[in-house]
Amino acid sequence: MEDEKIVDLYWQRSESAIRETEIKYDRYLTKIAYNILADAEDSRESVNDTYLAAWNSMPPHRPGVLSTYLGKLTRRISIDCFRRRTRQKRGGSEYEVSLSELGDCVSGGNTTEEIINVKLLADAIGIFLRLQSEEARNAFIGRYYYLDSLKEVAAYCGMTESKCKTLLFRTRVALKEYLREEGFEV
Amino acid sequence: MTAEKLHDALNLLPSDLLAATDQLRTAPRAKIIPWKRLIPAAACFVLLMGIGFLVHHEMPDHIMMKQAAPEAPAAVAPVPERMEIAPDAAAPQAPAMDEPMMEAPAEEGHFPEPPSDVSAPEVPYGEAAGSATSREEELFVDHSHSFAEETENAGSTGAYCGNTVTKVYLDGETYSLGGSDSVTLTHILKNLSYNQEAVCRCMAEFTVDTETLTDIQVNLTEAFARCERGQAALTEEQVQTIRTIIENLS
Repeated sequence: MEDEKIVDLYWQRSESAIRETEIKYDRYLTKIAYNILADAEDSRESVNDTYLAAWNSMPPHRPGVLSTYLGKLTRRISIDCFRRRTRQKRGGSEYEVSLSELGDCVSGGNTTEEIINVKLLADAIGIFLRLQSEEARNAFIGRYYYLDSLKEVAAYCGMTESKCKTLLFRTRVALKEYLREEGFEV
Repeated sequence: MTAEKLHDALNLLPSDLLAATDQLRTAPRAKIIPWKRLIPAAACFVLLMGIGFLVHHEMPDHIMMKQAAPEAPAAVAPVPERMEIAPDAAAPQAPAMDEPMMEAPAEEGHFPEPPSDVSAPEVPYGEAAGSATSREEELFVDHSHSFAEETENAGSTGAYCGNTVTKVYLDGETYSLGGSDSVTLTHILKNLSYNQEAVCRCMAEFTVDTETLTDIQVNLTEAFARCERGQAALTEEQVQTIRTIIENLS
């Protein structure tokens, strides 16, 4: 079923909306969740929570691209789940690896102003990514948003793992510099 | 700022940015076949093997065809009717098609075949150039030879006389005959009544060059001599005489 029709079903409050979403996006969302949680059961739970979040958010939302909308929900829910879980113990997921890598870009401090400015930070990152080459942008988003493994990113970006690793490193360094220029404390 | 904060910010990235990457990462990709890079090498190997096979199996035929079709005059008499087909196994067996004719084993009492560089071509003199298939068929058709009942002389029966040297090409060696052996051999071979229509395709055992007539192919087992003038049968006595001369060569 097309995305628009699925969104219409949500707006009509039809329960088949969730069934159609599951048919079309279950695997896609599970992959995002698993990249963060590295646990099948937790991933399943996150995806189910995603369906519930989608049900609760449509209406009023009418996403233009349903896949990225659902992906964002899954990502946020899975990261929350991960943080809850890692309060007790540390896991070995791609999310955790990416946290370590993205630590290059930031100082590790946490100020009130920064908490407020997450939206501004997102805008800055968005602008920065648009300034990058398509290759660098895809690699960065693939690695740090979708949390795909380095191997997977290199494969769909059509480059070797070592080249991909170098490209990501340069992009991170460039992002740090850009954020500093934009006045963020990194 | 923490890395987690960055992740939170990433969650707020515009959908169009994410969609472009998402499209790339979810696009179906060609399956990577681990042995795909070996395909060209394998193809080359198969090609080389094929060429090698063809060269190995086609070359003997190719050579035979060359030998079977020398610069024979095109408008000469056809295959003589004397080539009688003898399907019974009494006649010597011709070698298989794919065996080189040079390797035909010499039976007891047979002289080995002269080397290809000195022997006459396997196509008899006066043979018209036919199709390759019919030529090959005729080449191996069984037929019988027999001793001539009486000497097939061309008229002159007088003994050849004079200082002469006769060359015999046998088993890759060249022998020069002088004296009575040369005279006798020259006399026999020179005065035979050669018949163009009696030419067959049987292999010669050795070749003789006389002063007056050269490239005479002789087969003592089948009792015939063949030269550009045609082919003639030898009497038993002539065969015995020539055999004695040839055996004395070594």
